[in-house]
Amino acid sequence: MISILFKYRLIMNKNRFANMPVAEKIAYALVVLVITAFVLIMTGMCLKKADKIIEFINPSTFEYFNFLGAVVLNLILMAAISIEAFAEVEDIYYRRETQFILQFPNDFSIYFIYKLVEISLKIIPVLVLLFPLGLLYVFFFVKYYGAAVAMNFILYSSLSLVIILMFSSALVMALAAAIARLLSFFRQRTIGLMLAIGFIVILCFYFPVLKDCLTQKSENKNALANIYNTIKVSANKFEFSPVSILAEGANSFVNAISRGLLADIFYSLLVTIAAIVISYYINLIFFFREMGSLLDNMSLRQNSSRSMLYFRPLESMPAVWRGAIYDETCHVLRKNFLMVFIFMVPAIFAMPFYLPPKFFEAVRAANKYWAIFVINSTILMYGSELMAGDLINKRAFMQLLRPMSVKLKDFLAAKIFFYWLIWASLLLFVNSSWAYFLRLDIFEFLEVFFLIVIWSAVAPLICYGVGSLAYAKFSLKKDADGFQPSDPAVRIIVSIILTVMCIGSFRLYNSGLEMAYIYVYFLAWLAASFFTLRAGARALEKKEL
Amino acid sequence: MLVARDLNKKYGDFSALSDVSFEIRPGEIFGYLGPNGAGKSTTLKLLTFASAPDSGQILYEGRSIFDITNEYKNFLGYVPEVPFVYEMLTGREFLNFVCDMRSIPVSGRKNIDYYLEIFEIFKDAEKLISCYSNGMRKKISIIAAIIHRPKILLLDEPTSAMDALSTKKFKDILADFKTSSTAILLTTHVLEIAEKLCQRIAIISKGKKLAEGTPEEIKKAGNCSGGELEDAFILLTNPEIKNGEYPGR
Repeated sequence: MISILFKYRLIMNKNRFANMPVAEKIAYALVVLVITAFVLIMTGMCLKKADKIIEFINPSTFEYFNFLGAVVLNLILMAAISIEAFAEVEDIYYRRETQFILQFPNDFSIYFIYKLVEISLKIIPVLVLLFPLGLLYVFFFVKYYGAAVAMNFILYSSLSLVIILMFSSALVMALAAAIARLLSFFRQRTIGLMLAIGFIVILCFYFPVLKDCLTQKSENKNALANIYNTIKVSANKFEFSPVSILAEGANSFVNAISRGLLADIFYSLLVTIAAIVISYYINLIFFFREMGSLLDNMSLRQNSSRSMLYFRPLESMPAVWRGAIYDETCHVLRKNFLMVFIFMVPAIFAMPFYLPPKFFEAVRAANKYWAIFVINSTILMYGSELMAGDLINKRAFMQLLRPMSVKLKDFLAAKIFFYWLIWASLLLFVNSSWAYFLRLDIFEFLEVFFLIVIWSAVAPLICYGVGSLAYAKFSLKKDADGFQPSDPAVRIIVSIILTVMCIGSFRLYNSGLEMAYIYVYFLAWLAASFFTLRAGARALEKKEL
Repeated sequence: MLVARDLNKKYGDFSALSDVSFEIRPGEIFGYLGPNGAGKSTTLKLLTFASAPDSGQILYEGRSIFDITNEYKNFLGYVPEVPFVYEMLTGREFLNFVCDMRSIPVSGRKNIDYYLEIFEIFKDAEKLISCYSNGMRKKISIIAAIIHRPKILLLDEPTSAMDALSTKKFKDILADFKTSSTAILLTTHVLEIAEKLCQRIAIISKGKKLAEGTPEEIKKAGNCSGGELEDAFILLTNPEIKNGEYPGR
């Protein structure tokens, strides 16, 4: 069944490409070109600055950078994968395709395995963007520990990515299934709260454990041995969990055979396989039984009453404003929002509590706003995914607007206003802990405050402005059921523009300019995005309405 | 052949089906009629695993369909009200996909051309489904449901969006399936079709079965002997209307 599904998916893609107008083909080629250029430029920049960066990440501070790397990989990357996977898996419940596939005499669990592989494959291109960072780490290992250790790192990283991809996809499937099942017993908002509390509790344990693990002294300073040690220590910390017992068993087994690279790789493979097998069985228990009841539960959820976080001030606003953000306010605890809220924001807020004072001293000495720029860029990049995706996925709002005398520009403006408030609040919350640990004084904090206020307004303006323009110019026609390889052009273009904006601000600040110039820089972006929004809304109106 | 016994299904506080029972026999077209929101689509969802009953049984040849899922699916053909198709496949590719999913060997796919000819979409078979009209999509969906000669055929408004000639041909196909002992469940709003095609009919409203029997028995139950099924249907599903005195008459 899997091969059949893949075969016809390929045929669909081939047909889609063959029937694409030339303009769309050119747009896609451009997108590929820009991504390649982005990776090459970033790699070039890394190579150019490699010596300086490697000096900065010397063996004495490597543990902390390793910690940061692990946090980035585990939280940011896994959050990205989880958000993507969760949205995909949720879609399975709503798609009519599911009902269509259900009528065939095949084991339905295979369909989910197919989805798992498909989700993982879809996410792989994202990893290309991490290439320059990986390269830096390789240089680091070569410089301080030799080529053999660097090779270990490459092998281990490749395996880790497979683990992250497969395991998080499988885990998210189980999570979606668990939610679907729990919906029989609890209201959606109760489940949302339980999940949020659960994740916060996990994070509270996660950071200290990870920190302990990574700061364990290893005799040979071998990077792989460090990571290997990490897993062992993690296993000891959670000695009663089945994974730990399995890991310990595998550890003893591998130690009995040999020590060294081969054993480590074998061990990693074992852990990967174990992770996938366990997630498969989790899915088997939760997912593959009584698919009908899960579909029922999920469709019932659509009827759930008011959202916990209904945005009250909107009640006194014009109808178009309420309409524009109806979906966001009514489903504030749904998928993407849920994941962003419960994964990333508490994690980034909590991170400084676990970093050593000397880290903040080093940051403050080098560039006190360095962390602030990185955090804001990261959160807003995630936000862009949500907002640019909103344009593509919610074509429904176009259909609603079609018979109404509402200007698309006004409709999008309401969305932008809403997201501005959301992002500004989130950034202020997250930055507050960093500002405290970076020991910013009141004037410095005010500088950051104004930066956040402007920055969080520019981001949604760019997303909806550039997004609507790109959508009007490049976007493909969508199937009635929304079933086709997702059209990445709009998201990618928006992400590239946002990246340019974020990097630009950082580079300006880095070049020694005062914060006032950064404000001017952002205000320039604000003006440009405003005009883009006008043009984009007009073009989109012409195309869709 | 297919027996539904005391099916109950609730969505929150709303009871979509309440103690609904019926039987579809081999070689019979069973009409399953009801006004909008009566529970017809819910019943079909239960019969195709897209929903689960709160209580009650669905038996295929005496065994619960939940115990013999794949065996049951082998004999099942289903045409949903809104057909699902992969728009980026051609008509022929889509039908081949269905055959692949049902493990029908290439040598056993001669039916594809036969049905494409009958429904007059043979010349469009190599075009992408995204270019098809609603009627053509419906036809492709029907072919996909009958290509493996199912023993149970569930049809949800199969003739909607189809032109008169295609509807006529479709009726002929149903007659052919009937003679080959296929049990057919048909939901339709066109009561004329139900009256002509169905041997037995069940009428449901607000999740409850109101009447079951031959078209004549249904007319009797609605106090419309010698009248039309339509009148009996209206009177049965609208008990507040008496002696045919409903608005517009």
